[in-house]
Amino acid sequence: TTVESTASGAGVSSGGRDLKAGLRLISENMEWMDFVQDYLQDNNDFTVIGAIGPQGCGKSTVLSMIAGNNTLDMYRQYVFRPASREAVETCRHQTAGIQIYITKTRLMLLDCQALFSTAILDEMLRCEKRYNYEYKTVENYTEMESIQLISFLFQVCHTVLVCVDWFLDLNVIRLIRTSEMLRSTIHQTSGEQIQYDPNRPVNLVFIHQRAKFEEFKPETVRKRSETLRNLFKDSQLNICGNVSLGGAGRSSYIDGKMERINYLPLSDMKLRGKTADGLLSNLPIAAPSSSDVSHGFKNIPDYNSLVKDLRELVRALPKPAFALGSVAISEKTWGSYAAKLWDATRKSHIIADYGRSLP
Amino acid sequence: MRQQCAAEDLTKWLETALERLTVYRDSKVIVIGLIGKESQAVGDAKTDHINALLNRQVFLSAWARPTDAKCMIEAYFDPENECVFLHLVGVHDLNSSTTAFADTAETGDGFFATLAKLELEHSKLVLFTFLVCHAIVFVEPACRFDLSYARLLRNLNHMRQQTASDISSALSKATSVSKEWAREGRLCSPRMLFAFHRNPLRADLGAVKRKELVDKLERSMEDQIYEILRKSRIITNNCALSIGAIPPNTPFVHIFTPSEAPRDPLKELLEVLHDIGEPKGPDDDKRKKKRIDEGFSTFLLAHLEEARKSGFDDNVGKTAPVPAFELPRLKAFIRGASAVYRVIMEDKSVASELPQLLNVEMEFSEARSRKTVPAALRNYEQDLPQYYPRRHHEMKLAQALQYLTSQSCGPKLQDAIVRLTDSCEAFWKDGRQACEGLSLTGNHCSNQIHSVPGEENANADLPSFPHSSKARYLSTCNCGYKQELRNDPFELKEANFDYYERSEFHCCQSMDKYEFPTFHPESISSETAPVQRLESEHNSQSREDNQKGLFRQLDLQTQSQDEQSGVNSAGDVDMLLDRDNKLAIASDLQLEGHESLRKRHGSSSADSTKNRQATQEEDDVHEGGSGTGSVVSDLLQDEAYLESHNDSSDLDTSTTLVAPDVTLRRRLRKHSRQEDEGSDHSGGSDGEENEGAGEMLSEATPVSKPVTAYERSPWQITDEALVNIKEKYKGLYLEGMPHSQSPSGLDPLYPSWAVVCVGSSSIYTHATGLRDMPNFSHGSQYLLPWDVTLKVDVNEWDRKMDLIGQSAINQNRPRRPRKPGDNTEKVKVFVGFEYECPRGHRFMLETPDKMLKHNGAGGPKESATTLIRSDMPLWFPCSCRSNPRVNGQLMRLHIVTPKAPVAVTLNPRVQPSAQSHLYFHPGTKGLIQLTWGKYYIMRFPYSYVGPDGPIYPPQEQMTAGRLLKGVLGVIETDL
Repeated sequence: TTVESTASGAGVSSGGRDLKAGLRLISENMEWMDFVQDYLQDNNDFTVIGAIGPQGCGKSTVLSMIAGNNTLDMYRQYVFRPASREAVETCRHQTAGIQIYITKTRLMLLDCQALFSTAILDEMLRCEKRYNYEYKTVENYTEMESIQLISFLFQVCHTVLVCVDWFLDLNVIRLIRTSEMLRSTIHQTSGEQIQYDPNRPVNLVFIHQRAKFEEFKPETVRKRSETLRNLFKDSQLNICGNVSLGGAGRSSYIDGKMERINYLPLSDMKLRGKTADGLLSNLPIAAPSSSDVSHGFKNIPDYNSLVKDLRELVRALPKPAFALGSVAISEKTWGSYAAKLWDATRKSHIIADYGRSLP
Repeated sequence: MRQQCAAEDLTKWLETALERLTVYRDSKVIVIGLIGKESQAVGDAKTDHINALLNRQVFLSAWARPTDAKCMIEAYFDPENECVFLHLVGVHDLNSSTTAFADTAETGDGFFATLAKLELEHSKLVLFTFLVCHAIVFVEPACRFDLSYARLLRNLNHMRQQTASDISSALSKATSVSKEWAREGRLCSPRMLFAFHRNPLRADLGAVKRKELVDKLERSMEDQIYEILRKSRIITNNCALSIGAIPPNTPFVHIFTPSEAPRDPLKELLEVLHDIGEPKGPDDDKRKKKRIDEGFSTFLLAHLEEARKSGFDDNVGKTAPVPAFELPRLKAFIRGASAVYRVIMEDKSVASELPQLLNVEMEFSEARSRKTVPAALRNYEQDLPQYYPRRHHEMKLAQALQYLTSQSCGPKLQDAIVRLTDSCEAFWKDGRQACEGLSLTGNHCSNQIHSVPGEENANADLPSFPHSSKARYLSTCNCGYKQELRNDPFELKEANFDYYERSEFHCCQSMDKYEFPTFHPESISSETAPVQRLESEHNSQSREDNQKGLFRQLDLQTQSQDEQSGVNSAGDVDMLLDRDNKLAIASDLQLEGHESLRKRHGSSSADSTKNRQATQEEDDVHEGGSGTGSVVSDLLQDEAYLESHNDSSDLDTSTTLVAPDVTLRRRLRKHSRQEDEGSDHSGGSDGEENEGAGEMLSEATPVSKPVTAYERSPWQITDEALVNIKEKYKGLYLEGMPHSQSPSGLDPLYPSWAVVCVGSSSIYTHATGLRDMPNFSHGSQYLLPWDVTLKVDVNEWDRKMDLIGQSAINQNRPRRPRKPGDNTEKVKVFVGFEYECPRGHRFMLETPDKMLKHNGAGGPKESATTLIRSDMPLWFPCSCRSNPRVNGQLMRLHIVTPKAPVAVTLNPRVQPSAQSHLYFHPGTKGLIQLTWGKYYIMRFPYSYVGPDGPIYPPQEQMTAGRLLKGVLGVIETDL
């Protein structure tokens, strides 16, 4: 016990406090919040993972799971609070802006608000919140907000998880590709000591939440991986990184190269206190048929064990350096540059130009 | 008449339906469109619920469709409900998009380009659907409204207005189409209905609770959708102005519940077969059937009923007129729809405007490029010199490209980059291209692109004149007495030879010069030159003059001397005594030396261990151990030397490696014999130097003008003649300058090095340093003393010292008494490594990393030993202060040889680049020997050109390159 306390004591002294739950990084009004600086250390070995996706695709949940929550936890114990039952039942959103949580292993998790979300726009309209009248329409404003958030995440993350609940919303892909296109234009003012690489390859991981039983068929998974590869063929975003069923060592999905595409279907999360049988009985198609068994496809991989794999796979992804050259960046430097980059993103005249060009 | 079983492709349906459905041609039909998104997961299909409603598999799965079009409309007439269903398959159907993006491998299109093509096709079909339908159902796989519909609907309304007149006129020409329809261009403002899959509600709910929550969710979503479509003015109070309408009082959002998902009967059957034996709830199927009835069908049928009863009136408020609504007869619909379809597919405004509205990214990227390419070009054109070389062009282009990529982005960026690159290239090539010639100091020729006179494959279109970088340097002559400006050289000959032969440098021209081996066309008969060389006595003689490195100044006496040495030590690289030292007895001594060697050889080979000891001993004794040591090692390496030595001492039969031992042994014997001789000459005091000065001066006076075959040297002839020689004797001479990788046996056309004898050793006075040598850094104009101890045959040494003394040294100076057993002699050499910067500043180094800065009376006391034992830098920062900071380059090695029977050997090897082991040497077949009592200067090459081209001096101020250690050695010689 003495050794442990010393070790934890050293951990505290190395700077920063421990976070209990997600902290606001960017407010719902798209303003930068400086709270996070207190939790950043002089440590160079950290990983930044962001999550984006349409409304209700489980961004907060999957990040909480990566942070260490499990399905037995109560919602209030999740580091990122999932949408409340009331919100779900009225088709509302939970997360606004960007929330950040930092784990003990220095994993920085960024939970982004829903992309291009009707609920957010609706709330904005109802609250008569001001929006930038530069844009011709309200939905253009929402789109630009989404583009800014994604562009920003591409600048500050090693890995961005794209949470989807069906395969495949081309509008989501388009938003990501547009954000990627506009991100490359965020340039720092010259004279900065550390120059960020605007074309840094970012890992993109597709997490398919609540995938249906049939969507786990190896053939389906293979085809979808292929589709994703085609969609990102001319992209700087790196979607090859083994975050997949094959990469997780599920033998039915190992077929050469397709397991390299970051596409991971997750089954519906088991609810607290429910057994696997209960889950299966709720699926549109009940038990696996014998034809599936003959294809080496017996069971949907268990949610919890896949989440465990996901944690490891995501950490094993390459971590492209933030700065040009071989300058190591500490958490604190990252923090201050993230603030600058958000500012640059908000003020980027090219992003603004794009916004004005929207019909 | 046969009943239609499955949906058909719209175009085909429009062609055939009228004929096929004669019975129903006068039925009043309701037209329902199905638009939306579809993954291939079970239960997501847009049409499954329609199939359920119709109770038959009308719309087949993607794989079962007869066509593989990515965007299409499937049409089906349902006689029971008198409904036409139009199912749009498009960009958001996974099957279509997967195929389209899989094709990019062939088309080479990027994401946005592929999407643009798909969307255009898709949007045309959506526009058509909106123009011919009464109601449109948006089927979404996820439980949220897709905001992008707002833009789509706005775009469609714009296009509807643009095409309105064309459509009206087309409709009015179609038979059976009512006037109202033709006027309005559509049957009504279509009602938009939304159906969502994947509700996010918990699965563990009871039926009642579930119904309640689904209703609540549906109402919430209706509110959201209505609010947003109103705010973005998609729907308005007067729905005649809008693309579509939302019913004010009827539910328009339907949320599917999982158990409601209809099932493919065939599939179900298969599953039942598979699942035989597995327990299953007895009334599962019944329950599901019931739920379907109360679900989507109810939702849709309510709208159908309203349409049939009263038509849709979705206006808000009382101001707007009652909107048009018409249920056409089937025949009218088919004809009208065909007309509308043709207009949409062929209309010009659709083709021109729609892509602009859809391909936002492409349009944006294109617009940015249009703006930024000219700006980037202006960026490139800024501050350009009149002419500039490729490097400058590329640098400016890179800047412009950086600007472009920071200001432009997206799918058209690549085109913009190509455009900019081409424009800049064209701008540069339009009379701004500078000559790419690079001077040997690394400067560009500052002229417009041109050809150089005499150059091979010169471009006749270009003006012809020599290169010039406009840079001029102050440089010093061979002997160091005179400085003249020179142009930045582009030619190696100009750099290393021509400049030093200038008539202004009359100081050096009168001096004795060492003749480096060079190629002489005259010495080669046109047939088989190399063999003939040895046959002809005369030829061999004249050749040896050049090859062996003789001083050119030869009178009759020396000529006989030459012959003598030629016989006695054929091929041996030794230095012939210059005129001042030419003693009649020299040849005798030499002979005797060989005699003694021959005599002693027996004992030495018999007692080889002793030999080795002696060698060891000598190494230890020599003060300049490393210097001499390297001389020995050089001898070992120098094959030419060994061979020649074997020739002269044919007794040496053991191994060639013994040869140097033998020489050393010989020297040792001499040392031991001259045990008692003093070493006053090696004392090298300043007084002695001073004293000798006056004396030597008188001796140096009768220098006769050098009579040499100077004029016949190829480097002295005109450039044109040189070109001829180069052509004629190609392969027989060495291009450029000799280096460690140049082919052996070839001599260069001109020497890149020079060794001159400035005069007697007495002209150097250590107390005052160098005089009359311009531009030396203050305190740096000194040579440093280097004491070398030699083991000698004492008696021999003394005898030779006497001979020297007779001619050169004041006899009154008593020799230092020699201790018995002491067989060493000490000699003093003065050495200076001189550096010269492009501005003509000169300085000596005290150590390899320190400039000599002597202050005060008398010369510096520091020994040159460190200099001798170290690699010396080729470039060393000059102390001159103006910018840019420059380096001095090692240009001269000053050597004052002692007045003792020794020769100083030179073995310069310059390694200019740390990257390669390549080194440059003067190309002599052995060491250069300098005779006693003289002041010599070795001038290094100005430029170094290796097999991979010139080695440029460093641009920054730094220490670089090296002169390999072992450049100097001292050996005892015969006089």
